[in-house]
Amino acid sequence: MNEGEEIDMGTQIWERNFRNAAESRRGGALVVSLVAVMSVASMSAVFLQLSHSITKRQTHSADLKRAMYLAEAGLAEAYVGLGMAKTGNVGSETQPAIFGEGLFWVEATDKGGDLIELEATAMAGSARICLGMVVERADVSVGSLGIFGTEDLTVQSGTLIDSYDSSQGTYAEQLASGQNNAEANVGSAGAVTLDGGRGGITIRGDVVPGIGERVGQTGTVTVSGSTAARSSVVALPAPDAPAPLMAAGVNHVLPVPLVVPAGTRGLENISVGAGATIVVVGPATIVTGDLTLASGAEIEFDVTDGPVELFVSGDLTVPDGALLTNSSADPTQVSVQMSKSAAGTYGAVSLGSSVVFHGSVYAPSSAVSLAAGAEFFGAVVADTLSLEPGAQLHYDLAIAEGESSLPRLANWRVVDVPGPLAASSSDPFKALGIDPSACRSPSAAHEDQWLDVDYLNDVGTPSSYSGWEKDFDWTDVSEVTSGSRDGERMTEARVEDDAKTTPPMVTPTGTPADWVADAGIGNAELTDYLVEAAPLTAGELTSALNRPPSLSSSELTEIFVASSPMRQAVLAQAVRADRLGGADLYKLAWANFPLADSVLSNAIESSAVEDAVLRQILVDHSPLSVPVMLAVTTRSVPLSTADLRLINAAQ
Amino acid sequence: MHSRSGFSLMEVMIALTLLTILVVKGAVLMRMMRSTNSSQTEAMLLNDQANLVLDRISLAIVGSDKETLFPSFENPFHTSAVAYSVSLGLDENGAIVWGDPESIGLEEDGRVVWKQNPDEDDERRLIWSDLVRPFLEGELSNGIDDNGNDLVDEQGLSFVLYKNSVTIRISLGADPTDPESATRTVETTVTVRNRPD
Repeated sequence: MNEGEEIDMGTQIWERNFRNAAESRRGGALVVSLVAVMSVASMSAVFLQLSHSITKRQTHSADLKRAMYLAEAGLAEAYVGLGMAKTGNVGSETQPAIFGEGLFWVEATDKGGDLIELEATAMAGSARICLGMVVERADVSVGSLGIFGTEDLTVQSGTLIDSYDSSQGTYAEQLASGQNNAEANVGSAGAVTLDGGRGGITIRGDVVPGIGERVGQTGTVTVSGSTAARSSVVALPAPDAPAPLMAAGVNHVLPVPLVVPAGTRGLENISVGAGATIVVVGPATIVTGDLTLASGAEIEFDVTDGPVELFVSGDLTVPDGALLTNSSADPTQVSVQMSKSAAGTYGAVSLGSSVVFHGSVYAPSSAVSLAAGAEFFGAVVADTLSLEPGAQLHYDLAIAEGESSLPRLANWRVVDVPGPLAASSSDPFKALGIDPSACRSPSAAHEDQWLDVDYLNDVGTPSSYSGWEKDFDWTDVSEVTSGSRDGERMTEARVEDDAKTTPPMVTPTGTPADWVADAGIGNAELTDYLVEAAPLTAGELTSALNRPPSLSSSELTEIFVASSPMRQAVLAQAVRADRLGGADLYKLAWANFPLADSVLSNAIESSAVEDAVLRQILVDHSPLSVPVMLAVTTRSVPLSTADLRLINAAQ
Repeated sequence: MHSRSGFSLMEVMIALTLLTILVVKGAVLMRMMRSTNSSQTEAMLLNDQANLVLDRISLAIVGSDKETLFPSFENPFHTSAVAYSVSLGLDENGAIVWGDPESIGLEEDGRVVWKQNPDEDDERRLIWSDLVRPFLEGELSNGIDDNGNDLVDEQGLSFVLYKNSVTIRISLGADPTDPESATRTVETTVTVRNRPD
């Protein structure tokens, strides 16, 4: 074999090995790998798909909860709006209210009979929900006001005001256990004056004077609750008496009880003589003019089968020794309303010392007085409320239960979401084609109404506005004195800043003595300035006492009380000059207790102090000193035998 | 000259050994992955179903009121079934109109069943879950409060009424009869919105 042949063979061998090697690279490894990878990928995809669908469903569940809370927020916004004389409509489908990352709107439909249906639709994420609520409008009730005077309220020494709940037992039981006993609600649209004196006043609960007013306290006063002024107006509707056919008046004097059967009746007037009894059987509505009882007479309200409503357009007079009885002792069963007479006037309510009354008295335009020793269980609203020393009022919480100026919830349900809305699951704003920045907050989304409002602005200047509410700037309002929306009075005023109060009085420059000497300052104005500047010095008080023109007894009393305890010499001078009447001296006596002998002696000889008041002051200061006793016995106009007996007995 | 094709015995033995090791390791790994995947999927599904059932029960009874929820056992008592009616609105006289009676309860085979017009000829039933454990997670049938929730021997679905609120608790298990299987317990409290007349 030569060299060329060797090379050829080598090349052939190399080529054969190369072909073998190339052939040996054929096979299914790649396919197997590919199949394995695709299997794993498929399993992962399935797992991801499962995970995604579960996540999507859980997100929808969370969105559904958010939508439900949004819808409930919408219902709450509309509900509160109804309590403020708004319509209940909040936003709309084309202009919803935005809240968080969702939106809602509420439609209100008047169903008649004071029923309003609210339907809130809310959208959050992929969820939509619709909730419905039916509410019943409610006006301010007697029960929620407690013991209330629309004008200034004055409480005298020796008065007790507390509370109980007649639905949970008797007053005596709850007084012993302390349960429900400290929730009295004493209020006024004006100022509240508590003349504690030595007998003291005990109020177990809150005392709420009117907007910007204060609670004046003298003597021993115990108030267990708050004395902060109210921040909203209280609107009181006039009693709406039915108009039955009026029969002739009744004058019952026989000892046999006269039974007035159940039903609605009208009587020109009712009078009950001494020893006589009238029984009114419930359920009954009685409309009458004057209702007068003689001492020893009784009217019994038999509420076994139903409540009794009494509408009185004249005076309600229950003197000492007469009785007004509630057969069940449940104040929620008897109500007395003082309605307007044909002449357009309102009568007065006078309850004597022997009265133990269980019921409510609604007399927003009448004077109500409770004599010393009267005991009242329930609630009372009056124009002026006078509580004589020793009167007791027990506010019944059961009267207020379920009553509120807010509407009453009648029904709540889940409503089907309208079809087109339910079908969409995209972002709510995209689904409705709305720009989020154009949506209003819930409080700004209420339906626009015609607003008439009188208010104090930021600097305390009285202002008023009449126009569309959307054009009114509520941030300028410090306090609302009265207001209405679409002619309907607001029952809850909207105050932007509860911390603001009536601005302090601006007194003129100079000293109080300068103001007294300034003839350009009137007596009423001067009184306000001097009260604001209290306590005054003895010299300033003396100059006020001697100021021409003279300050009245009440003006002097206001100034002296503000500066109490004061120099007794000034007080003695005022009494000697007959400048203080009996009632005013009585107030000052307890603001400066004990009075000096000089004051007492001057009071004994003063012609401006009534004998009854003088006797009370002397008894309260007993035992008297010898000089004072001597002044009593040598008085130029002797006291009556009865008064002297009481004074001597107190020594 | 010698041919270079083929493998020696040693090469084959080594290759086979390595291959065997890889296959075994791979099989173990696959089994672990499958097991983890399975338990995670199970937990995810249980959680999802538990929340779904709870949401359905909550939405069903929120429109009722306490007077229509029966039996009205107050806390600390409990029940595994409630019957109720849902408000449909007011009629022309202002009185509430209630829908057909409904009930939600736990049946013996671990099913949560919703019924409308129960025990009537026109009864409608829906099974909302069939994975409910006989007793709530951590609880045994021994007359003792084992899981410290102030309830004794409460079942896998329990309702506790307190004033106007209902606390709903449910325990689902991958295998309700196997206490060792995956369990998921959820609870919520619903305030019924309607008040009794």
